[in-house]
Amino acid sequence: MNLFSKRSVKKRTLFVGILIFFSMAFSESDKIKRADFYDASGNHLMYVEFVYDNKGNNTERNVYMSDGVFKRRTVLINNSSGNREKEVSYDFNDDTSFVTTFGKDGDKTKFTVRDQFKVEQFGGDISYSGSGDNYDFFQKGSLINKMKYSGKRIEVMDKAGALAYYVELDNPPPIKVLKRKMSPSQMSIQQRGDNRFVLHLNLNLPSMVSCELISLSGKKVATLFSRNVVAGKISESINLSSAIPGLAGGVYLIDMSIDGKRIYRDKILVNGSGKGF
Amino acid sequence: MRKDKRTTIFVLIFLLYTIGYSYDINSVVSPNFIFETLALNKDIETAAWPKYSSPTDLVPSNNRKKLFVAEQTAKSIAIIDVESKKVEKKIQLPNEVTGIAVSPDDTRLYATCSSELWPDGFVAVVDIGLGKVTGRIGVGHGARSPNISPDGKTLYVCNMFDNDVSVVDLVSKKEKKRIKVIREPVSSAITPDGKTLVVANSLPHEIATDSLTITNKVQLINTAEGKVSKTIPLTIGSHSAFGVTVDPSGKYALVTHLIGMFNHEATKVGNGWIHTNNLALIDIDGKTIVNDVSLDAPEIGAANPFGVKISDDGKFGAVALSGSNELFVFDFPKFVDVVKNAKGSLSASFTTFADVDDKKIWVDGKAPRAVTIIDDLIYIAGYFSDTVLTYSLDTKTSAAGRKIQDIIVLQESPRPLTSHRMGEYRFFDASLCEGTWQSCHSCHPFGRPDGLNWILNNSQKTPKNAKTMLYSWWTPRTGWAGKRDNAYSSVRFGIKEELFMKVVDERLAISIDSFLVRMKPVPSPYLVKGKLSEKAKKGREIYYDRSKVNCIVCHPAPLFTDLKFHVVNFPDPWDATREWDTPPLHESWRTAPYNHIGSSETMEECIVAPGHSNVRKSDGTPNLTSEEIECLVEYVLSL
Repeated sequence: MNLFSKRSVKKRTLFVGILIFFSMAFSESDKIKRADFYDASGNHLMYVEFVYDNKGNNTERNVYMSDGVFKRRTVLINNSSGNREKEVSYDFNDDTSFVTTFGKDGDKTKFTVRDQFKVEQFGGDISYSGSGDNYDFFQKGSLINKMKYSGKRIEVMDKAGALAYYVELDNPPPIKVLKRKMSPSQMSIQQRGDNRFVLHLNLNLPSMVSCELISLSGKKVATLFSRNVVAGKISESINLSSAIPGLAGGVYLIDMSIDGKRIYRDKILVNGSGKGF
Repeated sequence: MRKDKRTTIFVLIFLLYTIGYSYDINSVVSPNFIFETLALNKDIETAAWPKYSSPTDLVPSNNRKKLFVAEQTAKSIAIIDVESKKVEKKIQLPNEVTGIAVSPDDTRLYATCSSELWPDGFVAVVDIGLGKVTGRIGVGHGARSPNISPDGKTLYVCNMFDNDVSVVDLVSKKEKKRIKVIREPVSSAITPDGKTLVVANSLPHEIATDSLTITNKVQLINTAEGKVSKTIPLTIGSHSAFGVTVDPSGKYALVTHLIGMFNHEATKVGNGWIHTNNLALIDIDGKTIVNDVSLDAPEIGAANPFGVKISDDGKFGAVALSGSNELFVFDFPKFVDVVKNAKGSLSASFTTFADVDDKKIWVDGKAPRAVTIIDDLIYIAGYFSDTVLTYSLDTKTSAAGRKIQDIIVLQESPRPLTSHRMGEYRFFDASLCEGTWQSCHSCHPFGRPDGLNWILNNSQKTPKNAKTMLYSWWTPRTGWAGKRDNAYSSVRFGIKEELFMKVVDERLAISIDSFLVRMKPVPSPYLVKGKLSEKAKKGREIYYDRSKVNCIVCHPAPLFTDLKFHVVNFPDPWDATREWDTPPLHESWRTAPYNHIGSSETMEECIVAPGHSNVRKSDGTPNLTSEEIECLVEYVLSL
């Protein structure tokens, strides 16, 4: 096959175009947007959002605590050769809070963090060596931490190699939803006389509660109760005779659901004449 | 054809570059960035910030088999087996632990978390069996001192800097209410029947020139109504109430605090001339203070009482004396008896405890803050020694029998004190004071002002409002009148003239310098998610708009002081001068009352005072609308 025939050139151009498109799209989407920090027990500590300029260069980072409280904005400053010269962090009032400077310590990269008064923050320079996936951190000539990059997870170990912290990239923690522990004992219906019932609820979370009357053939007859209910114990009286005048006597089903999910069903006997069972 | 080849090569290089770029994670999420982020949050240990334990709360399990230790700066809870006296487990938390409550069934801990770096508080729900945090419940700024209701369904949390108490529904795991209290509630305790929560406001809220009423208050909260049922002022000049406990019968509460003798010229320290260190007995049902008793002896002070506890059988009381490194143990029923039958105030009587079989024991644990009693042992935690020590109770009143029984070391490899940690310890250490009557912390609790006006032992001889130590190192001169050249000078003169030491140990003074140098402001409770509120943003614009106000002339960022003296119109007949050192504005949300004599109760009063700023025109009419003033105040209080 002649790769440079007119037809091939067209095909190739089309192919390369598609490749470029996907490559760019992929590249754009693959830029790290967020890093989440955890301790070894899995407690979420902080997250950082990365800001890029229109050339795709990372220019800023914003640090937030795990509840979304802003901590600082860090502007990244490179020298004319494109190497990192310093990083300047600003507080909520845009006043300088920290400045990080970089240097070399033999074959190691060295950095120092000072506050706005030039007070060194870590008690001495921190230096690190390594490349690619594994790094060792030193202070005052002693190994203090290790770091391992593994895909989109970065682990920080103590000097003995035990996991101390880890960072997940572009994998924010899910918003925790408290698990409902509903059981029939927390929702029940009790007969209190002729066609009168009391609905008992004990909710561990505020919820949308509904109670429906269903015929034995499965057809909804009426919605007896449907509203938001606060957490805790409540009781609600239902009088079927007044709620549904003319309701035929017989066996019906009561369906009770929380936030749209049915959690309780019971049979009740309705007296059509209103004179009890 | 050649052109096509060139194009192809170019495209391939472009592709390689693009794909290569997309995988270069380390250039964005660089190793130094990860290290720095964790180290600035005081997670990763560095030479400057070793991971000290700093035990700040001791809480036994209900079955008395375990002791839970809040290791504040280590962000963890240590579980000690009471029988073996060994640390059997540590549970990691997401932020500093300020207090612990245990569920009635001993299966869960509710730990308040808040720190100077991240003060927005939450309650960490800890499953003791799993050894993990299983949930977080958001509460207030500076959350601490959790108390659980006897039925285990409600938790009460003091929000130190929101000046309120959170009521947390533990069933829905949500905060359901806030109850407003007065100022900086640090400690609280609940009665055994759960009906009353006793809250100690640590600071007074009056203007400092109000010398007839200024004091901090204890408040009783009716838990059923969710309301303050009674506000009980302590003795005039009281502040720094850091410990509260309720006796097993639920009749009485004990509150530790200091009394500042602010009307005395501080020419000596002995016999409680500047401070007495006290224990107030509160009658809960009677909703009154029975008496306020000095813990000091005639010649020696019992400096900086912190934690307080009464034994389960109600026979003994124990107080951790943080400043004098001592444990104070006394016969509680006798104490009640003596105090109830006393005629007149015992607040400056130094012989009361001589009738109460008291014993003071020097504790080999630096600055103990927390104390508890399990069976016949007292447990006391050295905040700066990272140890829990036990002392026996079973020998009744014999001091010899109360020798140390056990030393429980919280750190496997104890961390040496850095210079600034040593300085922080010495700031709380009354051994730097003649007769251990007070420490730096006495007038400057946690390095901030106590809210009182003091007549210092210098040539000024006029009352001045206590100042914050925050940024004092960077804002010379020091003192309202600029009496000292700088903080370096103030530290040394302070040891000599306010703590009355004849010789200044220069090593200790340097360590205090180091502590002051590293002090950082606590983020303001006026910030919204760590940023300026919309109101504060408008206030910021006004602050910097010289056509409206001239704030930035004297209070320019970033220190918010021009380091100069200015004439401001806060007149005081005692003043020999009208020019005062311009204070920085950081943390002004917690330093009321304002100005050199503390005569402005609020920041608004201070800002709009005639002669202070040009918020008012010369004819007295305002330059700013009331809404603009509100915004300006909000901005200043956000710093």
